[in-house]
Amino acid sequence: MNCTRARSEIALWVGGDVDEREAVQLQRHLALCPECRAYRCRMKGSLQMLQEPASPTAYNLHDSVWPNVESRLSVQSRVEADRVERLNRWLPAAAIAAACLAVIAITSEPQPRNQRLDGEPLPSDLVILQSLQSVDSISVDERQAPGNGVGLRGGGSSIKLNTIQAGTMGDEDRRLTLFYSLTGRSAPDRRFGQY
Amino acid sequence: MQSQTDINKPLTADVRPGSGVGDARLVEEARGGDRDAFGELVLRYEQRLIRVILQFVHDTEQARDLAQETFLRVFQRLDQFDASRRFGPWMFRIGVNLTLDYLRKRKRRIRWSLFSEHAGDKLPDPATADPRAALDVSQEVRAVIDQIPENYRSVLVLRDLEGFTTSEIAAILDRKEATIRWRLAEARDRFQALWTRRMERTAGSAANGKMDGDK
Repeated sequence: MNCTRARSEIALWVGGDVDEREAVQLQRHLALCPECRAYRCRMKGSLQMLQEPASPTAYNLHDSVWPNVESRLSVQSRVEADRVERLNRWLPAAAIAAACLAVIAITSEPQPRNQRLDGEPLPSDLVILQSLQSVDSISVDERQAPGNGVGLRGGGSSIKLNTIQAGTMGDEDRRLTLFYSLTGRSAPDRRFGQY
Repeated sequence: MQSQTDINKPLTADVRPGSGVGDARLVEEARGGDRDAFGELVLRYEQRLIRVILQFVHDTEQARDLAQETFLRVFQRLDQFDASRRFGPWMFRIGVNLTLDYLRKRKRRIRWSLFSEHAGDKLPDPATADPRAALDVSQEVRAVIDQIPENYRSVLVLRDLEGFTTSEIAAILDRKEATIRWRLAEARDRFQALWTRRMERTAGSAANGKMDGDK
């Protein structure tokens, strides 16, 4: 046992905090080490001072804290009861409101829009085109829109693209902008020559 | 319900005569909402708890407030208590943690308002040359303990002033017993060094005073 270890053991030994085996080892070291013996004396003296009974006036406790604790517990339980009561009062209304919102959210979910340029015409295309037709009388010249044209594949479909008459809407860019915004499609690679 | 506590009672839980019910049973009943059972626990432990807290805060009223707060927290957390363990160390852990938190907050407050009224909370330092300060040994000891860092001080107080065993302190502070033993050795060593230095300084001041008087 070296002196560092011995001093740590001495600090425990003075308070009776070492077991017998450790105490024997410590005694062996102390027998050979006057410095550690001096340390033991100092440590015993300081611990004696530390454990001196404290001044009685410092512990003049006459009244139990329980009455105060009990009254505070009562207040807390009343507050808790009020909180639960308020919660219970509002809970059914809140649950109904939440259920209504959920129903509205589910039923008003937007239908997926047709965003394919190269797919088959969908019913939504018909609606859009019909609305375009009724509003602006936009005409799409199938010959000037080679291939699949703007969103609709071929002229052989049930939609007669070339029967939609042009004229009232204004310039070409404006018609295209309106068409794309209503169909949700992106512009094709090629521009049409004429509408 | 009033309890007359005796300052000279031993440092054991205050088990009331005729009350042979164990802590575990009382805790179970308190968990079920039995206030009287909890009151019994409070009466058993309040004296020792306040004494422990007093070792840290040195102010009776403050110690009582902290003890009340401790029991309130204990009651609120009864459902978290592991019934397979002992109630005492768990309750003291809450109390000691609450006290140490209070001391940290107070220390911060004092640091930020050095000249406020809280500065008066600090203990007088008997080593400073103030001829009016004739402090007794317990105050000297307390002043030295207050210079020890909190980690060591709490172990020292619980072991040497309050007589908890190292295993109880390990449970209270939620540390391994080996850690507590190491801290205890370190704490006693620091106390010894500070105490010796203080005594030497005091002896030196007294010798100087005597020499001045002889002149």
